[in-house]
Amino acid sequence: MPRIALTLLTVLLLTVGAACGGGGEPTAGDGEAPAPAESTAEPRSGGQAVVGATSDIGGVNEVVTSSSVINSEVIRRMFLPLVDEQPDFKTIEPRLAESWEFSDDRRSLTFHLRDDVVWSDGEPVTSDDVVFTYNAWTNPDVAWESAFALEAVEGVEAVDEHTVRFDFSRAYSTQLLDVAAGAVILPEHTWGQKPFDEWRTAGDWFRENLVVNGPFDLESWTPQQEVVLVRNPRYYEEGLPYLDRLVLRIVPNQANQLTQLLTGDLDLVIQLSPDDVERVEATEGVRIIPYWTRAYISLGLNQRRAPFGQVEVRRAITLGIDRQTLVDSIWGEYGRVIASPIPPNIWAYNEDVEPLPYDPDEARRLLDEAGWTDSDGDGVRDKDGEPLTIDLMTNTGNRQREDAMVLIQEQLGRVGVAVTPQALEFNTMIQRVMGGDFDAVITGWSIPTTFDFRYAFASEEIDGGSNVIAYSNPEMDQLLADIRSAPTLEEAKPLIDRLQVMLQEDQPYTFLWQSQRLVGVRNRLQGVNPNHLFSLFEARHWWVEDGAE
Amino acid sequence: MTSYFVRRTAASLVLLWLVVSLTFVLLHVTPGGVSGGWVDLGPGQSAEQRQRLERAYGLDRPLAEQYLSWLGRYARGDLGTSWNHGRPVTRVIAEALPATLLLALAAVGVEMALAVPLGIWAARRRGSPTDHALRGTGLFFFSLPDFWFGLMAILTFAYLWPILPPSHMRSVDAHTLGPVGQAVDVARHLVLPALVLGITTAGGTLRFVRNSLLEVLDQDYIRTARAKGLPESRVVGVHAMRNAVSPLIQLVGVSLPSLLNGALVVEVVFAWPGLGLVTLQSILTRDLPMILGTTTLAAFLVILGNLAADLAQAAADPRVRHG
Repeated sequence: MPRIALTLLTVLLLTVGAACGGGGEPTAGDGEAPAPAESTAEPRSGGQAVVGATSDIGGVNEVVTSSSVINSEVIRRMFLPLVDEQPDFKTIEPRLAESWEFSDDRRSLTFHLRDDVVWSDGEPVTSDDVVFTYNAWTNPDVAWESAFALEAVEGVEAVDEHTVRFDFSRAYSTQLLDVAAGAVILPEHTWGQKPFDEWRTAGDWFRENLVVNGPFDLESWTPQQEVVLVRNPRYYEEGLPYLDRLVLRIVPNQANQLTQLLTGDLDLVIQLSPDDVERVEATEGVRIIPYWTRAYISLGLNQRRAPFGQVEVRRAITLGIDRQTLVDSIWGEYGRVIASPIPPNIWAYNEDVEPLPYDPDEARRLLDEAGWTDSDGDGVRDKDGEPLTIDLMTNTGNRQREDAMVLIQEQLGRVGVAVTPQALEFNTMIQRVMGGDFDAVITGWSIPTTFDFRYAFASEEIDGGSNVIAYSNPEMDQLLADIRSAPTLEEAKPLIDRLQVMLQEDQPYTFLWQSQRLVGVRNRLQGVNPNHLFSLFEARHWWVEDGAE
Repeated sequence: MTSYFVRRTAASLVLLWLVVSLTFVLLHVTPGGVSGGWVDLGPGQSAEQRQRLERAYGLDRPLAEQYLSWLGRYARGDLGTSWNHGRPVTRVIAEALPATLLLALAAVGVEMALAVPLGIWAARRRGSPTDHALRGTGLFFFSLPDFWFGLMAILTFAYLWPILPPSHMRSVDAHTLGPVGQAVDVARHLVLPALVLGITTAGGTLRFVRNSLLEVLDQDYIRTARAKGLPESRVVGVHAMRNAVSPLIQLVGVSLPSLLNGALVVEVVFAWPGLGLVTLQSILTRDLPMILGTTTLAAFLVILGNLAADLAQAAADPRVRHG
């Protein structure tokens, strides 16, 4: 699915309860202590693993199914992209493409495809498949929802059977990711028979005419029940996958999922609640793998409304919120306070930027200086007869955010800011946020692996875009554009460092927290390495101790 | 009779049209309905991209025009294509309907098997401690939230004392079983959801059976039967029940939709692959054609149930059709 899953919608929905990916990777960064009971034995082939998911997949063709994490999880096991993005947000591994190179002006990118990859019907995977896939991505009738990532692509050409070239209108830092990691390559020789204008109504046809090139093939799909994946015998990596069958069982109720993990009906549950930890830890044969999610939660102040356009006021509000206490009481050990949308588990993190402390005295001083004093002694600061009030909203049904609103109300009350918490139905909230009709909102956002933060902080995104708080700073605009046009992300690192400093200074948002997702795994299942890209990321390396039965 | 039939059927059709039209309009004007929800994927998606998607689904046309063409297709039985699955809505519904019907029938079986004998028992011992205990128990189960009761049942019979499967309609390895084994497998999976749904509805039905039987037991002809010296079992079992059972049949007809409703919650808890799960997923993915399809089906069933009950009653009772 779209790698650029920076949709407010997705992040909010996933925290409402749908099972989703996301997270930080468990190997780098800090605070990782997973993998008790991770076996050191040699992997075995055979056997099956059963995974619990809260919702069904929409279909097998990712360009015409609505993006959901479970769709991507399954489709990425059946189809390969040109390259595989890694959870460190940095490394890129070859998949269908064994190598690639840029032209000198970086406006052409040439991929050399492996010549040993075949579709499950024996047809070779060629550059025609890549060209066909690109045509599908950009076809207006197909209306692929992530096509916007390809705006700088001018065209694609099959140079020979295993060489394909993408031409760009300009060079920028994430050209490779945008065309090669964002989506999978589709089979031209089968799906090419369906005219593009029929794609959106051809769900059954794609399934009946399914050929795959990934580690797993689809054995059966019983809607609302289970998706059964089996080893693809023609998969190119020798000896992989280890499992014979990978069954996805749809269990919408999370309490029932937990029960089935404990009984052994499920081998892996993608998302446990921190409340479940005690029960899981008390059960023999089950382990928990925590990892940092890719989402960050922030409080946004609508800068169209005075006085939130003033840096001092925003800073005072951040200083007036005891974020550590907030995180401790809501997440315990599974959350942390962040200073910016680039948390410590991501390579581009700037170690010199610490989250602002909780300093109510400094908050009071800043507000006094800005002219907001409690002139009438009612406990709420005011200026020119206007009290300093904030209507703070978030989406209903998200307990963590609702709890946070109440704590923030209490904490800001102590520095003389009157907060009124309000939990709104999700779509109503989105409509108000997009329409600029709010004081402050607590939302979740996804961290883009491309570090392209224009969507959140650039002033051109204020009208009709997703800079919903209307934050505007020309210096920031320039910085964001520079990051985008840097030739590589490594070279953009000093700029990304600077971005974090500027966000700290400007406090466009009060960045609240990042939290961990908890995957529950039966000990019979080994090799599991979930991360914020995909919970089933390493499924081809999964194996079961009772395998080879 | 014919003109009554025509009148009632016409009224039902108008009602159905009102319900589905209201649903259509509400879904299209709700925040996030069409253009703000599924189609609007938020940040990162350009306005142009959104327009493409809206065009692909015909959402760029005026609402009235969309409504008319939608209504025309509905009148011809074409419920459209699911956005999420790219499959005909009717096919998705047709796949899910058997599971829901199976569950509903099994639940009605449980409901009747419990409610009728216990209701008779309570009626025969009117005012006794047994009567109070039965009515109290009935009320207790009737008031239990389905999902909580379901989770407790799973915890008890699939975890603490694991004798039944915790969810789904079939086992993971059902494909390795023979036809008989598969039928047994489905039956085992059916037990818990059918019991949960049946027991919660039985609570209300028990009280209904008791009350309608008591009403009959007060009638003159029952006193006559008793005066003739017939044994009490024959008085209740034959003379009273025959008259008490007809409102019950009507109750079953009218309560089928509410059974389907209860099935929605139970299906989600037990991952039972029926309409309830389909509806839930449609709402979560903002799959408008699917939401409209399942809503229409539910409205259709409610109206059909009521119509059938009315017509049955009219056939039996001339006062109704000439009233």
